[in-house]
Amino acid sequence: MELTINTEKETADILDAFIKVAPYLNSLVQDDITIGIYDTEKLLVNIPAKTFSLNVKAGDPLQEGDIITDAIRSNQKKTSMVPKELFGFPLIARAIPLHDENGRVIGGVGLGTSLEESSKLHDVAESLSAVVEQTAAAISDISESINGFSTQMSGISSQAKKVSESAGEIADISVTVKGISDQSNLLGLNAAIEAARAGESGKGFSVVADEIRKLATHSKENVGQIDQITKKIHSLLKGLEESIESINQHTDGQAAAVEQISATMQEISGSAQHLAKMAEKALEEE
Amino acid sequence: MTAEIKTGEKMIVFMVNGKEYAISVTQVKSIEKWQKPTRVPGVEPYICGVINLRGVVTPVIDLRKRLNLPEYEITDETRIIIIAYRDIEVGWIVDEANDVITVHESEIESAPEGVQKDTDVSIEQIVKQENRLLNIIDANAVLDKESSQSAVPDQA
Repeated sequence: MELTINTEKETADILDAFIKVAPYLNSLVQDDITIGIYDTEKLLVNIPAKTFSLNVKAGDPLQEGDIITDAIRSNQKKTSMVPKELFGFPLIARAIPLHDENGRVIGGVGLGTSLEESSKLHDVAESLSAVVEQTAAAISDISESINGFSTQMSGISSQAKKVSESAGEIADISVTVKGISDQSNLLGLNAAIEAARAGESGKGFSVVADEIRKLATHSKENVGQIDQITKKIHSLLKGLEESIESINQHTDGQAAAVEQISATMQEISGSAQHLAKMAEKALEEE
Repeated sequence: MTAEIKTGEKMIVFMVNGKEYAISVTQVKSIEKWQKPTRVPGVEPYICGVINLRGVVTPVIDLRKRLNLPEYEITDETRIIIIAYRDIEVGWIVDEANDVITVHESEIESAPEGVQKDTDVSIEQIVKQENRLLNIIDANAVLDKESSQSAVPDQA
């Protein structure tokens, strides 16, 4: 800030004063700076920064387009950003004209500050923000997939219920078939009684009666097997339903956890964006 | 008192209280599904009542009660065996009836002493077929109380 002040008495010597002071300034400020002191024609002194130096030397004439040249010629203070393509790192350059006691421009001071640190901060903040956004997107994918999974599980559950109903229908039918086989057995018994009563002439009929009873017994055995199978199906389905129930509980837990993670990620994302904005603002304010 | 069993004779097998009984097919008219008998007053406690069997009013006996056995609930397997006894028909309620066997004379043995001692219905003979032991029950023994108790002297 002192650089912009022109004291009335020492104006003639101000260039000398800057030349004397310049080597100390870098040690006093936070940023890494390079200083150039010019008269109206050429570079008088160049103090390089700790980490970089401009490719200039004392005696170099004022270059067209340099901001120091602009500042001296237009008698105005100038600020400009030097993009990192020029030196490999972004640079902010400030230049002020210096005057003698009559207010005539006798030269100028240019100061270059490396923005590398701020730029790095900005880059890190931006990449953090991007990573956080990617993570948030991935989490939202997981959340959707869990929802889809849950829908599929309820589909499986309702299908299992249908299978159970069908097994129930089979059980109903087997009750009917068992009734028929009981009835057939009774019929066979009574036929055997009739055949026995008919004596010799009933012999043929008794064979028929026996066959009817065999058929009845056979179908009864088969119905028993059907009953066992449907019972097995029912118990298997019960196991399946229990598994589905436990999966549902797990996915519910997962969904809740993912929601929590998602909320945390949103918070992190907000902070990252805030950080990126702060870094950007810091860069702009330089 | 028991009818003589001829070789090749058919017998109906039925279950009462977990025991298998056999009765000659000549004494059986038919086997029916259980139907609820209509109670009749003033009869022996083992007579459940009467059923209408295709227009014929038929008395029904609970064979469990007649044999002094514990009561049992009616199931899908419960049957009424219609016995042709002298000129009338009588139904016996049994737990199950679903077999007919052919019995040979060689398979008939006298029942050991003490069989069915809880009741006055005497079992005189048994059928021995492989692992099976069936009590031969006679319609007379169940239905004719007097004769069952004094069967031997009467017939002798």
